[in-house]
Parts: sequence; structure tokens; C-alpha cells
Amino acid sequence: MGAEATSWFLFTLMAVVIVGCSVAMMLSRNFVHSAVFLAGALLSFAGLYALLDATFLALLQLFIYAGAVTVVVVFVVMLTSTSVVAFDSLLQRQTWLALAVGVAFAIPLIDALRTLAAALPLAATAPGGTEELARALLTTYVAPFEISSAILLAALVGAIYLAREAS
Amino acid sequence: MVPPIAFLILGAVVFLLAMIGFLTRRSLVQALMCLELMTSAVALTFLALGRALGDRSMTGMVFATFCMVISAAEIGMGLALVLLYFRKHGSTSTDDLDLMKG
Repeated sequence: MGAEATSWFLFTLMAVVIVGCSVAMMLSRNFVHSAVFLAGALLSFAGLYALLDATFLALLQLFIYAGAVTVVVVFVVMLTSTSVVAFDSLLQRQTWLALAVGVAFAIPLIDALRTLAAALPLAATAPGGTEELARALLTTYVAPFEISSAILLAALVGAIYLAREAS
Repeated sequence: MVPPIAFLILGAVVFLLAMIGFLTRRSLVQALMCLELMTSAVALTFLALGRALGDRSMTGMVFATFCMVISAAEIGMGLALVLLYFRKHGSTSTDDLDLMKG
């Protein structure tokens, strides 16, 4: 099997896993199952990033999302497990409205994809690796990089403040 | 190689699916999970476009990185808010979110 066929196989496999896990996540009655499906989808996203030669981002995705975020989601599901959300109201009258919004969103999206399909080159050139990414982050994009660290700190402090037990 | 447009189409499909899920789920936790999927799809689009345009300045990858940072901050804050709301009202259903204050 050549490299071409291998990459198509991996892409198709991960695309199917992502779409399947997303749908299962939304339709699952049990929120722990939802969290597991979410982890599956996020893992496949990491695989797709690796397929796009973004090794560093694939690892980030693996550690932060498939690892930390999934654990936090499971914690919150456990802590709020006494909360009953009626499933009949899970898929309800707003569904048609949501589908209408989705279609309204899809039309310009399809249009843009068509334009891109004509304009984009078929053979993509591999971008630089982790070294170039680090250089870009610490030179050209150093201001947004620092601001994003401040955002993370603020979110951390805010989350602890909000979630602490009121004494 | 898989052409970049395939990644873009997949990103669009997942984004739309997650958006419909976000609008229809009645559970705050599931709505937040849908938000995670939406940001991951956007990061995938950034990466695919950056690769397709062959940018040596790494703009696509840098934007995908920021996308992940914001999404991590958002899920942390979001889940803390869900916990706080649950502690006050004993529910995580969006149907009960009908007060502007408290």
C-alpha cells in the first residue's frame, strides 16, 4: 500500500470516527457515555492534526483535550449526577429551528468551500515543523502569545473562585 | 496526500453538526462538549488552510494554537459556571436557566 492510499485510509477512518462519535455524543442519554464519545472524537482530531504534519499540535490536542478536558468533563458529570435532564425534552421543538439555522449556515459555507476547491492547490506543501512554530510564536506573535497566557491565568483564577465551596 | 479541501469539508461538517447539537441539547454539560467539538473543527480548518497555502510564516498553525488556548480557557470557566449553577439550583438543564440574576 503506497503512502497515498495509507493517508486516504487514515483520513477516512478518522473522519468516520469523528462524525460517528459526535453524533453518538449528542444523542447519548448517559452523560458519561457522552464524555467517552467526546474523548474518541478529540483523539481522532489529534490524528488528523498529525496527518497534516502538525505534530506539536497533535500532542497538545492529546494532552489537553483527550486528557485534561475529558477528565474535567467527567468530574463535572459525576458531581452533577443528581441533576435530571428529561430526555424527551432533549430533542424537542427547537430541533427544527436549529436545523433551519444549520441550513442557513451551511449555504454560505458550501459556497466558500466551492470557491476554495477551485482555488486551492491539490498538492499541499508541508509547513515548517515545531521549530518554526516556536520561532513564530516568540517573534511575530509574541504579543498575542503573552495575552493568551494572561487569559489562561484569568480563566484559572476565575474557575477556582467560581467553583469553590462558599464558606 | 489527501487534498486540503477534504479536511476543510470535514471541518465544516463537524462544525455544523456540533452547532446543531449545541442549539438542541438541554443539558449544559452536553452543550459545552459540543462547543469543544466546534473549536476543534475550527483548529482543523486553520491547519488545513495553512498547509494548503504553504505559508512559511506559520500563521495557520499559530492561529490553531490560539484557538486551542481559548477553547481550554472556555471549557474551564464553563464547567465552573455549571458547577456553581448546579450548587445553587440543583439542575444543569438549560430549561431552568430563565433568570437574569441568581
